[in-house]
Amino acid sequence: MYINPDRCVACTHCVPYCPTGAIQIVSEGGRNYAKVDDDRCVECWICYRVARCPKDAIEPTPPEKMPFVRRLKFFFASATAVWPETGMAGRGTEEMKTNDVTGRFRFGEIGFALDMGRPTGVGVRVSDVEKVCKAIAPYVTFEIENPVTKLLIDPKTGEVRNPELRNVYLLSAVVEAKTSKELAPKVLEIVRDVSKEVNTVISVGLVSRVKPDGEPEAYEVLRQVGIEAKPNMKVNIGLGKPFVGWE
Amino acid sequence: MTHTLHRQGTYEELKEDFVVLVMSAKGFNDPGAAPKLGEALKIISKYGPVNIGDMTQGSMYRAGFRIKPVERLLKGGHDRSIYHGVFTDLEAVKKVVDELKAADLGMSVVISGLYDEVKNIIRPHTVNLFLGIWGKTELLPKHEEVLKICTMCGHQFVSRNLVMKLAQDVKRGRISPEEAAEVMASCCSCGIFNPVRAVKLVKQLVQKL
Ligand code: SF4
Ligand code: SF4
Repeated sequence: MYINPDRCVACTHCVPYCPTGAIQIVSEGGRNYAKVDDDRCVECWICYRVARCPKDAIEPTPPEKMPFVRRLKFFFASATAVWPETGMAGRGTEEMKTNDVTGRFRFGEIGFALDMGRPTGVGVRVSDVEKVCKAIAPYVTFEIENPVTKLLIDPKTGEVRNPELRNVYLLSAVVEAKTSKELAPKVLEIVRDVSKEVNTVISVGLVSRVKPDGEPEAYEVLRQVGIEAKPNMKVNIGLGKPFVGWE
Repeated sequence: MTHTLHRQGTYEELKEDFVVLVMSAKGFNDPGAAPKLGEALKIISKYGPVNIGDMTQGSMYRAGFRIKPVERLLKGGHDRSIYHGVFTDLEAVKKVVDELKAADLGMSVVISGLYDEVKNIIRPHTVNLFLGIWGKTELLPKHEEVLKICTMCGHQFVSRNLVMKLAQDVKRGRISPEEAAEVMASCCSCGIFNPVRAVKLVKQLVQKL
């Protein structure tokens, strides 16, 4: 994001709106104005879209004209931009939200949704995404429709495709993968270990089918590793058609 | 997209925070889905949601959507719209679910909220469990109210600094907690932010400043 110093009057209105704290008021040449830290800026456009500068000093570059790294940041920060590669709006895939129709997750399979850099604008460097992906790669299948898999990492090894991207700072990146119920405890333990080595936070989600008695199959995995799920979760209630069935 | 999953709060607080989402499945039932999704939005709107929105268009708090938000969202709706409604009680969610079921629209419906409550009103098919926040948690805000407010927009568009600034403004008597919550809700583009819960949390946060 660019703030035009000739228009900005340093009123500070936009500063707190930035989720990553990328906007600061600086003093240069005897005057004050708001300046965006290019590294810290994740191109979420909240300053432009919501804060709305009274002097029209906030000047975004349209995504199609952005250099690659900024476009990458933009897509990883946007909730609504449609990924040209997946046709999906948002940062991840449909994952379990349409599982009643797609059957992406079946009994005996456990999905991982590792939301790196989230919440509260902590953000994540690609190098930390790589760390997690490399650690779990031998035991999982990465979701190929997910933007992390499509654009950042090699799904076989978990290594970053382009080493020059390692230092890029993103608002968040959702690592989506799945494995068997038998391997899932090991993967969870790996994620628990590697989460101690990253310089960010990871909101950890686990996807599973629900057994006829109402117990999510993933509870078996959690009991093995001694981890408890929070009481709130996302629940697909099976109204989609054509329906894959309850079994 | 795990944007409704990471809401933080006690069991009692989360009893006032449910999100209903409706969408089509790409490559399976999306052609011609727009009217069915629109029908679902109308049903959601009937039972007093405190926020509604379409991930691809914005929420009722978006500038330009405040008057007649349902009509506007329906007008801009399409086969890949992802509609949301936020509810503060399970009774309303139950009514929405019962009517969606009867309407038999064939669209996927996801409820985010307390599992023990949700499973009492309808049979669950697939779940996404939340195991909490791992890693460098010292990077999170120090006041739990800020974390609870910010996680009501899973895309992280409600800035922690903005929450603190608005709480300070409330403390100084410049704005009301309701006005603060409305500014926060305008940052969330999907319409999943719960402004009613935010008012309560802002009041709690102000006590600590
Ligand atoms: S709102 Fe506009 S004028 Fe005020 S500090 Fe930001 S860019 Fe400058
Ligand atoms: S685009 Fe987002 S991250 Fe960049 S300065 Fe604006 S609010 Fe901050």
